[in-house]
Amino acid sequence: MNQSLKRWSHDVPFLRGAFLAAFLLLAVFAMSKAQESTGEIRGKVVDTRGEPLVGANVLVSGTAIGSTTNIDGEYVIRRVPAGQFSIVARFVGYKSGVKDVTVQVGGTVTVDFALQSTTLQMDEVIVTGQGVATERRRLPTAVESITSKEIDLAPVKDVGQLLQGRIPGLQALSNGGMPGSSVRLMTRGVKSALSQPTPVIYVDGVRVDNNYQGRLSSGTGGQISSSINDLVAGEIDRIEITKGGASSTLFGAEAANGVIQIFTKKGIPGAIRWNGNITTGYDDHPLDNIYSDYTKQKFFQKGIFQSYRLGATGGNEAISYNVSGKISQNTGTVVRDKLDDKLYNLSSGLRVVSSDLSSIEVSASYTRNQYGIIFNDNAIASLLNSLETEGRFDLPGVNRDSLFEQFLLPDLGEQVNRFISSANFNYTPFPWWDNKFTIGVDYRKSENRHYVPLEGGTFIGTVGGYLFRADREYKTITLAYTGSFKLPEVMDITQVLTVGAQGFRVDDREVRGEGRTFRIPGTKDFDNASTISAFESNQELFSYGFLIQDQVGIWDRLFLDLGVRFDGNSTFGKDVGIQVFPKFGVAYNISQEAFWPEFIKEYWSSMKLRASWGQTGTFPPPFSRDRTFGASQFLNESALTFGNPGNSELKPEKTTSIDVGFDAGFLDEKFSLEFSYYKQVTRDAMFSVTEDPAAGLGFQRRNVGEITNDGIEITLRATPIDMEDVQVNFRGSFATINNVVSSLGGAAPFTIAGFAFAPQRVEVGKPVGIIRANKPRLEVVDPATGRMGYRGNSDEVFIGSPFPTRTISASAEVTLFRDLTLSGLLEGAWGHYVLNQTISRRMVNALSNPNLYQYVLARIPQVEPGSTPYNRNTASAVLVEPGDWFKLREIALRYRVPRTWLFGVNGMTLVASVRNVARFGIKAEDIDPETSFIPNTTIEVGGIVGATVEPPRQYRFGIDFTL
Amino acid sequence: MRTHITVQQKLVGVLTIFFLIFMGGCELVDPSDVENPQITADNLFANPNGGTTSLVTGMRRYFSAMIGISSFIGDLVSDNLDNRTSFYANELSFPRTIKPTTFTYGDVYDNAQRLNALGLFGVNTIIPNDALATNEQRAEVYFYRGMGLLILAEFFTNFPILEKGPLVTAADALNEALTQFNTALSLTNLNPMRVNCRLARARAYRLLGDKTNAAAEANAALALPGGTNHVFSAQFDPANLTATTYAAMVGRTSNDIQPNPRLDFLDPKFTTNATAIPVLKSEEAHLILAEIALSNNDLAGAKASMRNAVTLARSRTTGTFNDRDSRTGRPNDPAMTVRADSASTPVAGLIQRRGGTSIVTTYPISYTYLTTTMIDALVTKAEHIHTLFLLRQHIFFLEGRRMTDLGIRLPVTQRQIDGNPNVVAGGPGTTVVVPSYIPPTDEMRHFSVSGLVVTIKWDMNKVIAANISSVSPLGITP
Repeated sequence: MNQSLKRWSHDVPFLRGAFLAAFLLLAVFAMSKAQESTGEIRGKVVDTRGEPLVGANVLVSGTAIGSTTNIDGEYVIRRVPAGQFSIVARFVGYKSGVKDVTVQVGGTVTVDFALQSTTLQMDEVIVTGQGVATERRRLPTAVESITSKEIDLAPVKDVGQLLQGRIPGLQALSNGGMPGSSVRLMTRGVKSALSQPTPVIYVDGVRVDNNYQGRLSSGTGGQISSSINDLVAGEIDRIEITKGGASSTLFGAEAANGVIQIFTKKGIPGAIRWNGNITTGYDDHPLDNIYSDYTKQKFFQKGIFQSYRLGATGGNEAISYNVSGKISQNTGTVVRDKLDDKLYNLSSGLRVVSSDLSSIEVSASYTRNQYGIIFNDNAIASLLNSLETEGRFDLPGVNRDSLFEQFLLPDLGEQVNRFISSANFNYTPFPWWDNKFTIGVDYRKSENRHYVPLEGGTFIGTVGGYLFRADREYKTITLAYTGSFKLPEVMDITQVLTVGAQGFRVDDREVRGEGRTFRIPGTKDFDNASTISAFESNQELFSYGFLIQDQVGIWDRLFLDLGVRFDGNSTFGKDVGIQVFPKFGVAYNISQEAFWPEFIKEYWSSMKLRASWGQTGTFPPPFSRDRTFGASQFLNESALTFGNPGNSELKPEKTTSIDVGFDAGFLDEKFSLEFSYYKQVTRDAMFSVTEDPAAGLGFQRRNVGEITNDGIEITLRATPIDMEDVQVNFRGSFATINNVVSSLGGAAPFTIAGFAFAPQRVEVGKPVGIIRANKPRLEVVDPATGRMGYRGNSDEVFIGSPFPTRTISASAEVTLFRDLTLSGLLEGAWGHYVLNQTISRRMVNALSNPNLYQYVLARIPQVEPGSTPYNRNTASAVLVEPGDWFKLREIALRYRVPRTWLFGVNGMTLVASVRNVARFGIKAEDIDPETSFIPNTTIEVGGIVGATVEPPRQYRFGIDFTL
Repeated sequence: MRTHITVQQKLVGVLTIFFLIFMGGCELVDPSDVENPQITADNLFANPNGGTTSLVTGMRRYFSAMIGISSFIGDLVSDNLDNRTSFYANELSFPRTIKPTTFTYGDVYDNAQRLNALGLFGVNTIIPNDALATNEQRAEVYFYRGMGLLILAEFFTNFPILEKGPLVTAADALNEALTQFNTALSLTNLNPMRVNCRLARARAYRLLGDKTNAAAEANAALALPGGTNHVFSAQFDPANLTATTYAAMVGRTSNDIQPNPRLDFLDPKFTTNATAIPVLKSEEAHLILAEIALSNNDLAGAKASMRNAVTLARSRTTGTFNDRDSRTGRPNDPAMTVRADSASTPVAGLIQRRGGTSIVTTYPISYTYLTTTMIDALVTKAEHIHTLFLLRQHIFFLEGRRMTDLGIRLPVTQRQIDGNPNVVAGGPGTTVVVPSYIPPTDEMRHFSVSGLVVTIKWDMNKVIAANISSVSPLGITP
C-alpha cells in the first residue's frame, strides 16, 4: 500500500471509534426494560366500508410505543403508561386517524379507527433521505413511494420491473427479454458522462449492489445482466424513491442519481398465519420483428412458468416475524430451454420490541438465480443477428436445419448467489431523543459461464471451442447512525435536529478464466482445454460521511429543512479533502391557513407548496485517481505498459438541484395533482480528457464538464368512484427531461458508445450520448436546371436524445363488489431516437441476399450515374429512427374468494395477469425501441437497439391463499 | 418515563465498549484501508532491478500493436484494399476527406507515439536505475523507439515527439530515428539486430532522399551474416495481442475488406491471429538499391537489384489456407484475367477460387508473380519505374507501405490537437496530404468486370511512373 493511502486510512480511526461507541450505547440501552405500571390499548382499524386494514401502524403520539394491525385489522398496544395520549392510526393510501384516550393502570381502552382513503397521502411517513421519519406534508421535495398494495398487484419478478411506469421522473426501461438483464434505471436525466445513471439502492438501510455484470464477464453482443435482477420483488413492504437533489443530499457523494430504498416485511402480529402462492403460466415471444418464418417456428417456444411460495407471519406486540420461501422457474422463450431461469429465495424479517424504548429490526434474504443466456444483438454467433439479418433461412440451397443446430451449440449462463442482511436498532431513551443504528451487508457472488463445445467452434471463428468463466464477488458493508432530537416547542415552532454518520465499504473482486481449444468432445471444464489463461480485477472503496439537519415546523404548516453532509471517500484524489453537500428546503401547507376560504376548501381541499435546493454527488470509480502501469501479458512474458495517467485532484461530480412544485388535493382529496419543476446542474462532471498522445498516455478522468437536466413531472391521482360496490382508482403521470452537456470545460468532445459509423457522443449543447451519423447530402447536380440529387457525399449530423425525453404512464384499478379488482398499467416514451442496428446489420448482409438487397436499395438514396453509391456507413443517418413506444405493460384481474366459500381456509385470491400485453405507436422498423443494444459497464444511456430476445408477453394464473 | 438498567447489564455494556473500542483502534476492524492492486508509480520506482526486462517486453508489445494497425491502415488508404462495408471509417477510402476526427486510423498515431514515449520513459527512468540491464536490452529499447519514430515519419508530416513538445517535421523525426538505430547498433553484438538497424537506417535515409547513406546502409545490411535473407517481424500473441490486419482481412465475415483484384493472388497473407507481420526484410535493401540506380539512370544496376528482389521474394516460405470467404460480388474465378487499366494487357492467374473447400497458397513474407525473365525484358526507364513500384506493391503487400509510396500522409489525430497547444487545428501536420496525381474520390479502388476480364480503373504504378519525380524521395526523373 502506498504511503499516502496509509496516511489517509490513519486519519479516520476516530470514525471507527465513533461508530462503535454509538453501537454500544444503543446495545446497552436496548437491553434495558421499563418496569412501570401500565395499561393497554386495543382496537381495530378498518376503511370506510368496514374492510380491515392489515399492517396499519397505530402509534401512541409523542412516544415510540406502537403496534401494527393483524390480518383482521386488530391491534393491541400493551404497557402503555397511565395518562392521556393521542393515538394515531396510519395506513398508506388513507388519511391518518387521530383519537385521544386516557389509559389507566391495569385498564384496557378500546380505540377503533375507520380511515378514509386519499389520493394525496400527505400523512405517509417517508424515511429515505430525511434523516428521521417525516410525514410527507412536511417534505420540501418530491419523494415517491410504492406501497405494499401496488407491489402485491404487480406481476413482476424483480424490483426493476416493479419500478416500471410507477414513478414519474424515474425511467425503468426493459433492456430486453434475456433473463438477468432487468431494466435500465435513471432519474431525471443523465448527470454523468462516464458513470451509470442507476440510482443507489438500499435495502432496510443497507447499501446494495446496483451494478451491471462484472468488468471481466463475457459479453453476449448485448444484454448484460444486472444485479437489480436478483432483488426479488417478494417480501417487500414498500419502496421509497428520492430523485437526487435536496431529497438525496443526506446520502452525499453517491446520490446524484437518487436513492431507491426497499423496506422488507417484518410481519403482522397475531397467531401464525401461513400464506402462499402458486402461479403458473407461459411466456410468448413477440414475432412481429422476426424476419423469417423458419426462425418464428423453430427458434422460439412458449416459456412455461411455475412459481411456488410459502410463508408465515405472526407474533405479538413484542415480536413479529415474516418468513417465506419461494421457488420459480421459467423455461424461457428460446427453444431447448436456452433461457431457462430458476430462482430460489428465502426471506425473513423480524421486529423485536425489546422495551418501551427500544426495538430491533432484522432482515435477511438469500437468493439464488440460475439462468441461461444466448448470444444477442451484435454477436456474430447470434442467430437473430446473423442468420436473421442475412435472411439466410430464405435462401435456396441452404441446409437450414444444420445451420440452425450450429447456432444452438453454445451453452451460456449465469448463476448468482446473493445474501442481504440488515439489523436496525432503534432506541428512544426519551420521547425527544431517537437513535437508530444500522449495520448490514450485501454479499453477491455471480458466475458467468460461456461454453462453446469442440464441434461448435468453427462458425464463431474459434476452432476447438472454448470455456470462459468470470466470477464476481461483491461485498458491501454499511454502518450508519442517526440521532434525532426533538427540540422544545417555542411559540408554535417545532424543531427536529438530526445528526448522523454513515460509512460503507465495497470490495468488488473478479476473476476470469479462459480455456481454449478442446481436444476431446464432451469436455466441459478448464482441465480439458489446450490453453488456459486467467485474469483478475479487484476494486475496493471506502466512503464515510457525517450529516446534520434541522427540520423546523412553524405553526404546523410551514416547514423548513436545512441540512449538510460532509463526505470523504477513498476514490477522491490525494489533494482533495472532505466534500460538502448542503441543502435547504421549504414546504408550505397553505391550505391550512385561515385565509384559505372554506368555500374553496370544499373543492380544493389541500395545497402544499414546496421548493428546495440541494447538492449531491457521484464519486469516481475506485483507483481512477492513481497513476498506474500495466504488466500486460505478451508472448509469455510480462510487458510494462502505461496505465492510467492519474489525477490527484479527482473529486466527485457535484449536482446542484432546484426543485419547486406543489401537491394539491381536490374534493376531499378524491383527486390530487402533484407538480414539480426541477433543474439539476452537474458541475465538475468527470470527462475523459485526452492526455498528449506524445506522452503515450490515454485518457484520464478530470472534473471539467457541466451537464444540465431540467424538466417537469406531473402526477394526477383520482378516486372518481368510491362506492360500496364500485371503487375506481386512477393515476396518470407525465415527465420531461431536457438533458444537455452545457460545458466541456475545454475538453474535446468524445465518444462513449456506438460504432464508427454512428458513435454516441458527448458534445457541448447536446444530450449525453447523442448519435452522430452521416446524412446523404442532397445537392444541385445539374446547374442548368437546378435539379437536385445525390453524388455520394454525406454530412455529419447529430440526432436526438438517446433516451426518452417524454414519458407517460397511467394506471387504473377498478374494484367491483369489494372482491373483484381489475388493474392495468400503460406506459409510453417518446422524444428520442435510436440507432436501428437490426437494419444496419441487414444493410451489411444484404450483399449476400438478393431479396434483402432490394430492401437496402429502398432505404438508401440513389446516386447520380458515375457517383459512388452510398453504403451503410456513408448513409448511416437513415438508420437513426424515432424511438417512440407505448406499451400496455400490465393487466391483472384479482378475485378474492368470499370466506364463506372457503372451508377452513382464511383467505384465497385468484389472480390472472398479462405483462407486456401490447405495444403500439412504434415508429422504428423491426425492433422494440424500448430495449437497448449493449448496456456497457461504464455508462449505458440507451440509443442503440439491435436484434435481440425481446421482453416476452407473460400470461400468469395464480392463487394466493392464507391458512 | 425513566429507564432502569441493572448493575450486571451496565458491567457487560462497559466491558463490551472497552473491548470494541480497543478493536476499533486496530487494523482488525478497519474498513477504510484500500489498496490498488495495479502497479502504481510508487511501486514501480521502488523496485527498479529487473525492470528493463519487462520494459523490453513492453516495447515489443507496443511495437507489435503499432505494426498490427499500421500494416493495415497503410494499405487501406491506398489502392491495395477496398473497404466494402466494415467498421473502418469510410473516409479512409476517400483520402481527401480524411480529417483528424476520422475514426480508426488514429491508432497508428497513438501506438507509434506510445512506443516512442515508453522508450523515452524507459531510457530516462527504468534503465539507469536497473543494475541488471544488459546492453542487448538497451539496444532493443533504442531500436524500437527508432521504429516508432520511423512509422510516425512515414505516416505523418509534422508532430510532436515529446509530451507538450514542439512540432517536428517528418525529416526531424527520421534523423532522431537514425540516432536511435545508431545507438542500438553500438550496443548490440547480435547480427539479426545489426541487420535490423541497417535496414531501418536504409529505409530512413531513402525517405530523407540521402542516396549515398541509403545505399551504404542497404549494402551493409546485405553484407552482414544472414543479411541476404533476413526477415524481422512483429510477433503476435493470440491470447493477448492480435493484429488488426488479421482481424480485418481473414476474420472477415461479410465481404468487409477485399484486396485489389490485381493482388488477389497474395491474399490472405496472414492466416491466423498470431501470424507474424514482416517489418524489415532483405528485399527492401534490393528495392532501395534499384531505386537509387534508377535515380542515377543506371538501368542495368536497377535491373540487377530488382532481379535480386524477385529471386528472394519468390524463394520465401509459402503456406496453404482454406479460404471460406466466398468473395460474393467479387471476382472469384481463376479463369478471369486482370487488366491493370483499360490500356494494359490482361494478366492471367491473379484471381483465385475462394469458398468451400478451395485451398489457396499463401505468402506470409514476400511474393511476386514477376519473374527474373520479366525483369530482363524491361526496356524503358518508365517500364523500370513502373515495375519497381509494382514489385514494392507485391513485396510489401499488407505491410502498410503502399500509402507512403503513393505520397499520401495522414493528419495527426484530434486527440493530439486537443492535447498539445503547439498543435493547432489547420496548422502543420493537421491536414491530410494527398498529391494531385491521386485520382478523385475512391477511384483508386474502382474496377469493372466484363465477362472474364477484370479491368482496374487506375494502374497506380503507371500513375507513379508518370509522377515519379514527386513520388520517389530519391529524385528520379521520368
